[in-house]
Amino acid sequence: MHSAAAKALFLRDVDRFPEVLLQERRWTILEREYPILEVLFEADARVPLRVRLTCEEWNALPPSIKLMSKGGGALAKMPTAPGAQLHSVPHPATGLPFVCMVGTREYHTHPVHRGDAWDNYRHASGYDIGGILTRVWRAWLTALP
Amino acid sequence: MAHNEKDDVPKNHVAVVIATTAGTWPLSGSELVPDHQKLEVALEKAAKALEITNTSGWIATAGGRKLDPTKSYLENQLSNRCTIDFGPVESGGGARA
Repeated sequence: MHSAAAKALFLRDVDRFPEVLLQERRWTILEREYPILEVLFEADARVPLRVRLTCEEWNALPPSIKLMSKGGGALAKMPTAPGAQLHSVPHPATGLPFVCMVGTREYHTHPVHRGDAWDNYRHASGYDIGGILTRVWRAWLTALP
Repeated sequence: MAHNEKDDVPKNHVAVVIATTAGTWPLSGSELVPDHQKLEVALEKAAKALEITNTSGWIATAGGRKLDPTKSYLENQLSNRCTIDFGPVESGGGARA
């Protein structure tokens, strides 16, 4: 995909997050410059989670997602979600814990899920950048704190 | 009916905002709706206005509490002014290395 088109699509997706929603969800946008979106999730009685989406070639490719501590360092402990979306077992390509969920690059490049192509989802509702981030956030909310 | 945030909410009504990562409905301010109306009416209007073509599997919450779109604002214990967070649920995962 042409990088200017990818950037325009990225900006369309991330510039429309309404302030009222950010407040309701307690999301703090830390960085919003193509191809990076970095958001801090906070909630009562939960360890905050910093989520970095790298969205180059959006949306020909799904975002690569990195989970970090509030300060931007490695997570001391990966949250454990009941649906196993947050994986402490390293991804074979990156060697890092990863988000194993439709809509993330780590899912679609994992050997177990290579048959489940991103193209099956990329134009579907709820698989824009905000939708994917929402899914990660909900997985985090269901995880052990 | 659009509602001015500075005005009081009339009796038996709710001033509602539907918030999604694709924007809000209404675009600004809030919408005045009867408190006995089902939530799904506003959710459908929001999806249409925001050009969200498929919301099957999405959930609505307020203050972190999951709402039932097939029930009214009253039945969902929503009154006066409310912001409804509307979005997809986490999708499945489960790869094993």
